[in-house]
Amino acid sequence: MAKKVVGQIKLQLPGGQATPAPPVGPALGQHGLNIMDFCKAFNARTQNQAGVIIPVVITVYADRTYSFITKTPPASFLLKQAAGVQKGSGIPNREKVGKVTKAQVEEIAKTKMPDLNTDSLESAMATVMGTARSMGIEVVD
Amino acid sequence: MSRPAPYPVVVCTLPGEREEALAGILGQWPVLGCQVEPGEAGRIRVTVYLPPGEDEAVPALVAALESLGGEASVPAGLEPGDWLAAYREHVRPFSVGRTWWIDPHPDDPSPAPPGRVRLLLQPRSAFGSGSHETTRLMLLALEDRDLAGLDVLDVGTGSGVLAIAALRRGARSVVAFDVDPEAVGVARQTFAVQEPPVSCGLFAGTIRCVAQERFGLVLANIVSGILLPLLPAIRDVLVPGGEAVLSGFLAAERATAVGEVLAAGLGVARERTLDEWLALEVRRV
Repeated sequence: MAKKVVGQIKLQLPGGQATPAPPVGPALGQHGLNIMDFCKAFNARTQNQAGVIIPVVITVYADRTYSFITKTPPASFLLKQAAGVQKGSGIPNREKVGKVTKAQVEEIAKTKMPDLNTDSLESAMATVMGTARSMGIEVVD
Repeated sequence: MSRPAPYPVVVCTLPGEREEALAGILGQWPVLGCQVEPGEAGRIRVTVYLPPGEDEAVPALVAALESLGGEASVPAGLEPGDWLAAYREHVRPFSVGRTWWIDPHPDDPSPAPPGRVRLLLQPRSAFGSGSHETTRLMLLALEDRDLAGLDVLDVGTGSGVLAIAALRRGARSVVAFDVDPEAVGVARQTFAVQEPPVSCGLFAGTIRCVAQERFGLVLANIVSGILLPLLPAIRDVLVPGGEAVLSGFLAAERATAVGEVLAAGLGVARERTLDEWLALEVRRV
């Protein structure tokens, strides 16, 4: 039988760096959850994205257990990181702020695939390139 | 003692569709993270927390949040709290493997069932409450071993759970350490409440502090990103033929983990898995 869900907690945390400090401590603590076990599991699953802000959705069950899913970082963030720029362009069609390679786009597309609702790498890459254009980041070969 | 500094807080309501964009900008500041809650009329209420003392970042963070179409405010900082209190209240003693009895209430302990060894372990802000799969894998490995006469090193001791388990399995001596001074404080308290009492070396620092010493068994329950780079140092503190129990790997990381273990001059003696987690028992070759 499915467990009874009593709540959902949405957080955004730096990958690999969850601690019992806020927001994790107060958010999970008020439901009586084992905060340290969550930190361990979150950090293990996201340690390859250290410091990147990862959205996570925690489902809380009536027996004070929980499950969680992590989402991929936003394409815009991954693009800025790959291009080494702080922010996108205000006038993306005229003012370019940086460049990424096709290979970097492919890498980002692979990261984003689970959240993009597609099984096709080509279409995931097209989505990422669309985001890049809208930010004034050029895609070069 | 001075009062611990509060966590700076920024609160903001944003259009719901900016949730992904939020994750895109937060990484520019040294934030601890944020909580996202449903607000009125399809908007979201975002509460961002910064580490104590990072107040300087607040104005820029407010400006960035408002650029996403929100209205931000800066309430009083959040005082540090005992956020594990609710968990401690309801958690009951539980068994692990065929040997262990973890009692989370040292102030009001219950007798262990016959034949089980009791570890008094109050859940606090250090890793190792005994319930996590990685800790259970370590405890299962320890119950299968006779530690009589062995000098043991506990790397990243957290709550101190593995150090006391090793002593209960007959280890001659245990030295435990953690890079996190707060964890060392928790471990000290764990050692102090054991009944019968235990004696265990403990320090805040890194494995370099014991580089000149040698151990028959090394215990390390961390995450792979921290554990793998430590493997050569762990090998170096083992006596020839000495063993290490390594936990905190995801089963999906097995190939990488085993590869690094072999590259560090260690051989894999046994593997254990529990759900998505993997522990390796290795020997210095």
